[in-house]
Amino acid sequence: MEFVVRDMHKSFNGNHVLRGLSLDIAEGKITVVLGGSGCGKTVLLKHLMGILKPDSGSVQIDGKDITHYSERELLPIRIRIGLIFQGGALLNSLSVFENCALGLREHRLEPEKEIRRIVKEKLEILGLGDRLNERPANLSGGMRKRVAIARALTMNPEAILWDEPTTGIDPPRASRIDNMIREMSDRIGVTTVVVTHDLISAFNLADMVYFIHEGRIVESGPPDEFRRSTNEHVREFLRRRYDVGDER
Amino acid sequence: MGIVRKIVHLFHSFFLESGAMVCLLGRTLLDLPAALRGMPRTLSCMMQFGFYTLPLAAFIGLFIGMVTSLQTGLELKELGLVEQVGSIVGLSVVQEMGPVITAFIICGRVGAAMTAELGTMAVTEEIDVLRSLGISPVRFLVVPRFVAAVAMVPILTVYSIVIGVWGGALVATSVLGVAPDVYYKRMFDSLELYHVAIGMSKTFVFGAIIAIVCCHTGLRATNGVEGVGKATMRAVVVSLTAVLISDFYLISYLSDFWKSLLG
Ligand SMILES: Nc1ncnc2c1ncn2[C@@H]1O[C@H](COP(=O)(O)OP(=O)(O)OP(=O)(O)O)[C@@H](O)[C@H]1O
Ligand SMILES: [Mg+2]
Repeated sequence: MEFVVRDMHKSFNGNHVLRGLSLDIAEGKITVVLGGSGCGKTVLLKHLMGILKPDSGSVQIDGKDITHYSERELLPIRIRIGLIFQGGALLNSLSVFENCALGLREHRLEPEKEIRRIVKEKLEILGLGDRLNERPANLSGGMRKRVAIARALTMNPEAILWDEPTTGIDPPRASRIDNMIREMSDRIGVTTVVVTHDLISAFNLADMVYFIHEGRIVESGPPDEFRRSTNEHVREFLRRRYDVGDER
Repeated sequence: MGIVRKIVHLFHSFFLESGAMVCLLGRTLLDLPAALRGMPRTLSCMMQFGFYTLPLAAFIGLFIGMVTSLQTGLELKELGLVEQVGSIVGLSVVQEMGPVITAFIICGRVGAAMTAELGTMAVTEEIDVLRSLGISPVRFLVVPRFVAAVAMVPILTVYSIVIGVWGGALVATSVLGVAPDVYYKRMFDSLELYHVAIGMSKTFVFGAIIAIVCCHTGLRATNGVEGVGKATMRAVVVSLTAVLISDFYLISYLSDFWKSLLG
């Protein structure tokens, strides 16, 4: 899937978050979006699926302008995209298993037996095979996030949008998740967008890096080029983040 | 200036909100066949809204009947017409008190729960999760609640009316000294089929109003836990008001309609 965002503006009650943001997400590649906390990265991801609507500007998916699509028209597109929410965002009234099976069940994509197998398999990959019947409220933050990842994977999406996949997850698991992202991209050609603060994984994964500052993309390029950026905000971001990395 | 602007704003949001609710009603009706596929969810909503409200409906119904019987009975006694108490209790409980007060307690108990539940889902991004999975929140959340409300409000109303009539008889015999057979005979003499039709047809509309208002308000909740509290409060106020206002119009339209059909 290919995404094209053009001159997007979005504000929430006078808080002008996105101010003319444009970016391209290439099919089958890993695009990493960096930016300070609260700069609108999550908001951007929600726009890519039509969950939020821009005040002006456009979002195109595979050449089709979805900006003004109705909910009904967006449904078939959304089935093809997986969004992994920053906080996991599991449905609290459903068990871990039911959360993961939700999409497959609602759309009747597979028979029930097959759904059980798929969900179990994905949860086992993420180290949660023994928590099928647990309620989300009883899970730790990192576990919730891993359930959310499993949920997105069960749908076999063509594109996956990761909202800070490794924050709140321990380093060994985080690097396993990085490998998973890389592998899916290489093997199946999943179009991937990763929003992260974790510079190590960002530079490991990225085919293309974008940096958001004050609602706009101020720097973009392949990781090697990006690292040599002369933009002062990028320099500051890289410097400060490496410090945090050292402390860990 | 400030006041004028406030009033304009008030009207503006009133029309926006009511328009959005009509839209939600339309989308719910279009998605109604989905209720069959989501039968387990619909049934669990019915259980939660209907079954667990039965004791409350019974209790309230009992007192509606007893109060109506006592109040009118004491007045009638002075006029020497105490035997008529059955017909008055019957007419007022079946047509008006039963349906409206049952709708009120459902607003407070079930409607508030609906808004709080959907509101919490909205502020914790659960609604966004559904949308991101290509699942329509209307189909998944609103339709089962709508069906449950439209089905359960009439059932609960019948239940509380029956108990109310019995409560009225209890007071009539023990306090007013009217024989039970006289009470029931007067009641069934004056009650026509169209009275029952008027009372019952309202309850379906009340159920729909409660479900749509409360679901709409819940889905629109913002601003975290505080916002959910406010949304719940607003949903109860708006649905109570809407039930009362619609009752006024329903009485005038429905009584003509059912009288011409059955009377
Ligand atoms: N639904 C909303 N209503 C009002 N304001 C919002 C909403 N969603 C986001 N915002 C605002 O938009 C801005 C950007 O939020 P966003 O969640 O996109 O930040 P972020 O870049 O993802 O930050 P972080 O790295 O901390 O996750 C914030 O100022 C936030 O307050
Ligand atoms: Mg975020």
